[in-house]
Amino acid sequence: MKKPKVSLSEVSQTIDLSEFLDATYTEAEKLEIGQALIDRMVERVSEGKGLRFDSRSNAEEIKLKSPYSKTYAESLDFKAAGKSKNKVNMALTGDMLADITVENLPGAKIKLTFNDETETAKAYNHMVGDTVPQRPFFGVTKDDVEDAISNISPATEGPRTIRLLDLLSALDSDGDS
Amino acid sequence: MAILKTKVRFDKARIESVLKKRINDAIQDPALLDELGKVTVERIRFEARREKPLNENRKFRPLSEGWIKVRKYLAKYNNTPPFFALKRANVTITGQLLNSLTFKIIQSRAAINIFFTGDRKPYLGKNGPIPLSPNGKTNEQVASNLFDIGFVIFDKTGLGDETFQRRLTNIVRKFIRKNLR
Repeated sequence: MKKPKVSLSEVSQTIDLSEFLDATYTEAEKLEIGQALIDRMVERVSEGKGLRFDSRSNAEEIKLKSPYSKTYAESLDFKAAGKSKNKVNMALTGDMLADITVENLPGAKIKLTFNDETETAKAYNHMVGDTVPQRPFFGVTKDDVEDAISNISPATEGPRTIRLLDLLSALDSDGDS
Repeated sequence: MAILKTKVRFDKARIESVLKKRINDAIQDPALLDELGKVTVERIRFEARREKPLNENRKFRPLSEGWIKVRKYLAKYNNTPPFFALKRANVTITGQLLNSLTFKIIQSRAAINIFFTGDRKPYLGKNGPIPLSPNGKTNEQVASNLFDIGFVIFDKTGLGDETFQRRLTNIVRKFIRKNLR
């Protein structure tokens, strides 16, 4: 599994679900897995943890640098948000973490990424430690993906219920029905 | 090699009807409205503590010298929160006004009513509690008084800046996605 791509214009991680299970997922199922992965990422961050990836893209869970700097902890924004100096959770307003979304890619791939360019720039700054201490919060591990997949029944496992989101996708591409 | 082609035909009207009902159910779900309410109240508090109204990209007007003196006196005898500063126009001395901000879910209209609640606790002065003014006995009255002199903490004209609107949209989108299974 690839490690996150980190640039000023894009902070993302592409996941090929076919690496984990030889199954066909509908778009709705892929998005559901993606959302579960985002939820896991946010949960990890709320515990003050992030991920460090090595050159082979293996991930190691790490503790995000704590506490926050004295300057930041004394800022009005910090106080107004009711943050705690020792509880690093990458959230001031929560907008950055809330902006992480999942995109459906061709085949069995999905991409976790940011929608908004401002939030992307903020995430980049934290990931590389450009003007703030480095806190690599973004990304998911193979275990995260396996856990998310285990909660989804893929299409190849037998008869399945057509989900409303699948129908919606079909309606979009089936204009003459 | 033979290619098997299949075409599934949908009863579009029925599917649209089911979808509409499911989406309506989702946006009236108390859990969704509760999350939207919490996030909005927190944002209003956050912006006001930073001297900003929710809906505008500007700060509240500066405090008068006379009011700064009053704040200095009150700060001496009352507990002030960390974001209090004498000259900071963030509608905060003890924090009770912004802390009283709350919301109520109106499920039938898929709406959230955001308001100030509760009675005011008198400020303490040199000689003990300072009596409340007749039109300042509740937090709603105090917010209304502030509104009248230009400190509009939030109003009905908008939902904050683009970033916050996107935040709310993302919450709704995520909720609908999770509920359209």
